[in-house]
Amino acid sequence: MSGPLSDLVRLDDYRWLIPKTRQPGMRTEGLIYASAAMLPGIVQDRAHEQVANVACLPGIVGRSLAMPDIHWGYGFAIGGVAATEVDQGVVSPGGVGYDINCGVRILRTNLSAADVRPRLAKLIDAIFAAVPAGVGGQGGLVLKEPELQAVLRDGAAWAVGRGLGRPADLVACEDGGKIGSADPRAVTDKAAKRGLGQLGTLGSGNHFLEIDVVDEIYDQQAAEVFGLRHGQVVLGIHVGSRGLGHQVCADSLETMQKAVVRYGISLPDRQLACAPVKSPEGSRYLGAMAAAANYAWANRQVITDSVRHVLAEVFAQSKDALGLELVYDVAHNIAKIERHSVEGHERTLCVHRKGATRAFPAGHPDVPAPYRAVGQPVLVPGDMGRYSYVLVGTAEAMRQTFGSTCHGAGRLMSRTAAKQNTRGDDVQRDLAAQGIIVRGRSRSGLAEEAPSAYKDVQQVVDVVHGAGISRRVARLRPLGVIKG
Amino acid sequence: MSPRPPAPDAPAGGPEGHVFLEHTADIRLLAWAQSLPEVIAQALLATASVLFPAPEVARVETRIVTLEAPDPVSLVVQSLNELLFLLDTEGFLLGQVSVEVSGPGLEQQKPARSAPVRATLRLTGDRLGSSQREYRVMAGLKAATYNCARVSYVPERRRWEATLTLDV
Repeated sequence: MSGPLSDLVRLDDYRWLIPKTRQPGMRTEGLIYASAAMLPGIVQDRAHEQVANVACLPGIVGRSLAMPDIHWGYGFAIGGVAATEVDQGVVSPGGVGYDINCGVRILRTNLSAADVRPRLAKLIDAIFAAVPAGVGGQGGLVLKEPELQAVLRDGAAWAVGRGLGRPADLVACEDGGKIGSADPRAVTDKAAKRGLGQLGTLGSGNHFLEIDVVDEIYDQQAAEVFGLRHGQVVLGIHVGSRGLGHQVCADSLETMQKAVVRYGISLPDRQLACAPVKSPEGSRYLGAMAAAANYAWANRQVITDSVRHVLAEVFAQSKDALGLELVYDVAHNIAKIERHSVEGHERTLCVHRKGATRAFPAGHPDVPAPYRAVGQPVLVPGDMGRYSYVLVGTAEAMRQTFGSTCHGAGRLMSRTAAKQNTRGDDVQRDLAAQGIIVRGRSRSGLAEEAPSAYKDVQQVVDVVHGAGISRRVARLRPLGVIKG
Repeated sequence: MSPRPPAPDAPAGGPEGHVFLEHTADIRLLAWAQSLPEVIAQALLATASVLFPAPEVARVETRIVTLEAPDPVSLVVQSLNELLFLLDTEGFLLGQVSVEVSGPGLEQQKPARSAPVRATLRLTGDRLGSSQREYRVMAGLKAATYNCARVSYVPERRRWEATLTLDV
């Protein structure tokens, strides 16, 4: 192979190696999961350079990984996964990103597409009115300081404890909807101030609420365990920790700029600034990050409650009669302290997932009991015109990727190019012609999120399925979408 | 790794200004001016323009922000993040800005590496919902990042330049 692709060594149909010799400072190899067809775009985007940069982090274990929805990010590539040694490695806020615990959940219903179609426009408009969205994003629950502390400590359980959900919701959340090691005291006053008025809000960008129908089942057994069936309507919620999380990351990065000097760490990009996991700076970041992650789980839980109320009203049925059970809730921007087997030895690692999803297999103790026989549900949203997927975690993911897989479609086109390519009104009209009702706070935002701006998520899923790091269970097609 | 170069067709003339460069998921900006305070002001106006056109914002309220940073890159990143903090917590939109900077070596266009630089930002604008004007914010920004960030005097063009990525 010649040209820029010569940086990469093809291992098989799905895996491309970045040799340790590619750039000075790499402590390990990089590994990108992609098809041959995807690779030129990845290289043109230069995202592989960010995978190589991450390989320079002190204490990195195994390879610097990238999932097939990889694209150019900041510091880490989006789709990046890196595990570091807890005792001798670092934690990097850039490996989590600003939207800490940005994640996805889906709810299953007892409704079919035929039930929903006649009331779809009314339903979308009612959800649009009920869930505050857009920039600034005040309009959520207004919290007093002690309540915010409880949210930061208890996550989704805070909301359920106030009647904004069901106890079963917590069982169906990654980590039960809270990281127990959260340290609300590590959240700065500025970050807390941003969190006081934003709980229960969608924000902007690529965050969404979506009504989908299950249009394909690939794994009947897993689908049954997840409570999914062909023709069933499900609801998707994609949002994170809002301004509170953004500020936690920004504040932590300022601390880490000083830490890299203090600990003599040399990095190719200041966004990778980091500190030893067990240092005061590292511990403080992990405590604040966990608190922000808990805020995100509470946020998705409060939105869930709003959506349940709207459905009950629109369909004039009780929430229980409609089903509306939480299938699962995944975090895709997070750092977790996890146990993994590396070259035959059990090790405690700090696994950074920046635009990547945990994908634990059947039998893993962290998979909720109802799903333990088949594995952890993995939720992979696509664009608003095509489809999304439900996958399941695998033992192969534990062997190859520290139990990680893709998180979405990945952007193909810049926001500027997307807006030059199409107008928000056109996106809305074209999707309406396909039977998909779309609402958004901003027309330019809709243009930026046009289906053509994203990779085909099917290609992404083909790679992770083919590589064995997760397995297809079901495909979802959108009926209605609300963008922030 | 060397930072991504500006887009070749980036119009980057005149004594001061800013342009947006291609970035797959986020926004990359190049601001330039004759001094460090002015380039910080340009970066602030560029960031503000993503949210709402600064010339159209009524100038009815002022916020004074003081910052201290170890170097000019941190100073610019912190300045932009202060603007986003004010939007998030007060709905503050920027219409006009002036910046004062102090620190050793700035007169020679070479800030000392060992000493902090300090800035005072005077931000004038309006708040969402506070006046007769109705503002419709065009886009959301999460933060200004350090990714391939550069802030320096560029002798060959005889101007200060700031290149930064904003997380959308």
